[in-house]
Amino acid sequence: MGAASGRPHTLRSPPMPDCLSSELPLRLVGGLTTGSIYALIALGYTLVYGVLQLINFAHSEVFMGGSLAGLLTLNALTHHGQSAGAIYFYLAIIPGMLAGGLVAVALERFAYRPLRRRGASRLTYLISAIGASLLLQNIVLLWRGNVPENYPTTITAVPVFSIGTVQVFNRDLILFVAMLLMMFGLDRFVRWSRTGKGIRAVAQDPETAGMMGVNIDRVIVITFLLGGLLAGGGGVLYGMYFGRTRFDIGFIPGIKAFTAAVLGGIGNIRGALVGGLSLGVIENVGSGCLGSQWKDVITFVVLVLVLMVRPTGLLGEGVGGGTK
Amino acid sequence: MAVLAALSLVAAGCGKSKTETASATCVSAPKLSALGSTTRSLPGGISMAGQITASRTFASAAKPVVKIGFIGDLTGSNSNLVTPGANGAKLAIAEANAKGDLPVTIEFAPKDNKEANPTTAPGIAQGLINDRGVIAVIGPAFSGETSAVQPLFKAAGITHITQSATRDDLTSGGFTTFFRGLASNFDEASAAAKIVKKLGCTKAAVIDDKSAYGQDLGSTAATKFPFAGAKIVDRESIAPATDYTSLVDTLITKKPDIVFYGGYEPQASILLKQMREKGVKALFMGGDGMKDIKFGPDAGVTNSEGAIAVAPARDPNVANDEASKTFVKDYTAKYKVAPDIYAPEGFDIANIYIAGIAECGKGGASAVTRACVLKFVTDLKDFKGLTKTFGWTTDPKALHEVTDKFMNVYQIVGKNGVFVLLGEITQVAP
Repeated sequence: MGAASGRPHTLRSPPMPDCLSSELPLRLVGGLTTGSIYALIALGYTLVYGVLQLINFAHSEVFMGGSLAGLLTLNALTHHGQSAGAIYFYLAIIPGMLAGGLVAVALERFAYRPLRRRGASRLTYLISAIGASLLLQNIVLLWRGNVPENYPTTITAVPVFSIGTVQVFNRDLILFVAMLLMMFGLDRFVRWSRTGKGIRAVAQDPETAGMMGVNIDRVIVITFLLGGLLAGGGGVLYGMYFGRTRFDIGFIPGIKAFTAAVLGGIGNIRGALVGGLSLGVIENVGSGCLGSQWKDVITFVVLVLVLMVRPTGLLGEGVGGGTK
Repeated sequence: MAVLAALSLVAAGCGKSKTETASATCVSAPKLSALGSTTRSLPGGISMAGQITASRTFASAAKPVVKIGFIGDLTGSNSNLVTPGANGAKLAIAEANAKGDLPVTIEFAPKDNKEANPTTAPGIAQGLINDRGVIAVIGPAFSGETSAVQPLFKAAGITHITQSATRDDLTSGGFTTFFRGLASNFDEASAAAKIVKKLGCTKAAVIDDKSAYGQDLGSTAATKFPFAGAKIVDRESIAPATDYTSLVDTLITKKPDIVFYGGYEPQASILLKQMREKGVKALFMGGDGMKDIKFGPDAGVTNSEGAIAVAPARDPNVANDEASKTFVKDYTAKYKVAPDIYAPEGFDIANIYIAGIAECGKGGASAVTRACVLKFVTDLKDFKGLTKTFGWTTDPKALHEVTDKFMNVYQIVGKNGVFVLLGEITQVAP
C-alpha cells in the first residue's frame, strides 16, 4: 500500500501513514506480546465479574504477587541476579502462578467473603478492594523497598524468524504461546469440567445453582484461584520479558487489563483474550501513528469509547463464550 | 589520556567503528569507583546520630551547635546518585569538627526526600527553616525538589547550594539564596552535541522521562543536535515505565544512530535493555542522571557496552592532586566504598559553608548566622575545592551559576558494565 512511487499522474487516495502500512507488521508483533499479558490479567477480572458481578480492583496485586514470587524463585535458583538458562524460567512460572492463586484466594477470603456474608452493597466491595490493594502494595514496599529489582535473564532474546524486515524473537513466541496454552486450558476447564459447569451455573443464576446443589462458596474460591493462577503466570512472563519488578508493578498492567476485559466484554472468557490482544495492538499501532508518549492515552480513549458505544464489549458479557 | 579517550569514543561511534584495538587501550584507563554495594542503610544512621547529638546540645555542649542541612533522595530508587554527596559533606564536617578551631560545633542534618518528590520537599525544607540551628543547606539534589523549595529558602534567608540539580531555569527565577555548584543541563546538552558531532551521528532520537530534570535536558539536547549534524528523527516525553515496547518499536522504524535519554538511571537502563533485546544497535547516551553504578548491571552488562554519559561531576578516584587522593583515602576508610558521583561536590559545598562559618565566627559564635553565611557565599571568589574553583555568575538571567563549568564524559567500555572516565569534554570532543 505504501508503494506510492510509481505512476505519478493517476488519481489516488492519499497514501496510508507508515503506522498503518509499512510499520504495521512490527507494531502487530509488539502489540500481540504486550496484549498477551493484558489478556492473562484480564481473565481474572472477567471470571470474578462473571460470577460475582464485582470488579476485583485488587487484581493488579495478584499480578504483582506472581511477579515477585517468580523473582524470588529465580534469585534462589540462580545465585541472585545472574543470567541463567531458560529452564529456570519454566521453573519460576509454577511458583509465580501459585503465588498469584494464593493472593487471589486470600483476597476472596479476607476482603470479599466477610462482605458477602453480610450482604454488603457493591460500593463496599470496591472500597474493600482498594484497601486490600494498598495494603498489599505497602507490605511489599516495606519488605522489598522501592528500588526496582531486576529479573535474572533467563531467556536471551534470539530472533527466530522474520516477517519482511520484522524480527520475531523467541521471547515473543514464548510469551504468546504460554498465554494461549493457559487460556486454552482455562477455557476447556470451564467448558468441560464439573467445576467449570458449576462456575457457569453460578454465573447464570446463583440462586438456582445453589438449589441444584452447587457449592457456591467453593465455586467462588475456585474462580478467584483460576484468575490468580493466570495473573501470577502473567507476572512471571512480564518479568521475563521486561526484566523488572517492584511493589507497584501491577498498577499499569492492571488498568490496561481492566480496559481489555471491558473491551472484550466483561464476564466473557474469550472476550478477555480478544480484548487483551486487541488492546495491545491498538495501543502499539496507535503509538506508531501518534507517538509512543500517547500510549496510555490511547488505552483510556478506547475504554471511554467502548463504554459509550458498546458497553457490553466486543463479544458481549457472560462467562462461557458470550451466551448468558 | 585525551588521546585514549578520543580513540575509544570513535570505537563506540555511530557504526563507524574502525578498530577493535582502541577499546582494548581503554580497558587500561583508570577505573571508576569499585562496584561495591552502596550503603543504603547509612542515611538512617546519619540522621539518627544527628538526633542524638541534637538532644544533647543544651545539656553538655561546650561550644554552641550550628547545623548544615541536606535534602535529597537518600533511600529511594535514585539514592545512588544522592548518598555519596551526603557522605562527602558528612566527611568534611567531621574533619572540621575534629580540627576544633571553629567557635561552634557543626552538625550535619540530612533529610530524606524519598524519590525526590517535589510535593514532599517543601515540608522538609520548612522543617529545616523552623530549626533555628540550621544556617545553610546542601541541595536539594534534584531539580524538581529544588524548584519546589527555592521560594521557601529565599524567604527564610537560608543559603542552599545544590551539588547535582542541573535544570537550567533554577537560576533564572531571581532566587538570591540559591547557588548551583556545578554546570547545568545547557552545558550537558552542549557536551552531548559535541560528542554527536565528533562521532558523526546523523539521526538522533531524543527521549525524556517528563521529569523536571529530564525534560529540560531532552529539550535542550533536541535543539542543539541539529546544529551538530544530527537530524531529530524522534522526540518523545514518556513518564517512567517498565514496558517500553511502543517506544522501542518506534526506534526500530525511525532507525536513529544515537538515542539520547534525558532522565534517571532506573528508566534509562531498562530502556536500553529492551532496545538491545529487540536488536536496536544505536549508541545510547544520557546525562548525569544515568551515571550511576547500577546502570550497567541493570541494563545487562553486555547491553550497556558503549553507553556514554556526560556529567558535570568530578571523579576524584582518578585525580592526581594530593587533596583528591586524601579525600578518596579518607572517604574509603570511613564508608568502606570508594566515593561515587557527587561525593566530592558534597564535600566541597560543605567546605564552603565551613569556611563561611570560620569567617563569620571571627566575630564570635553568635555571629555565625544565616545572613552572615549567605553574604559569605554570595561574595565567594576563587574558592579552591576538590572539583573546581568556586565563584558565581551575577547575570540575573542565570544567577549564581558556578563559573567553572567543566563537564566529564564517561563511557562503559568493554563488557563489565562500569562507566570509565574518558576525560573532560574539552579533551574528548573539543
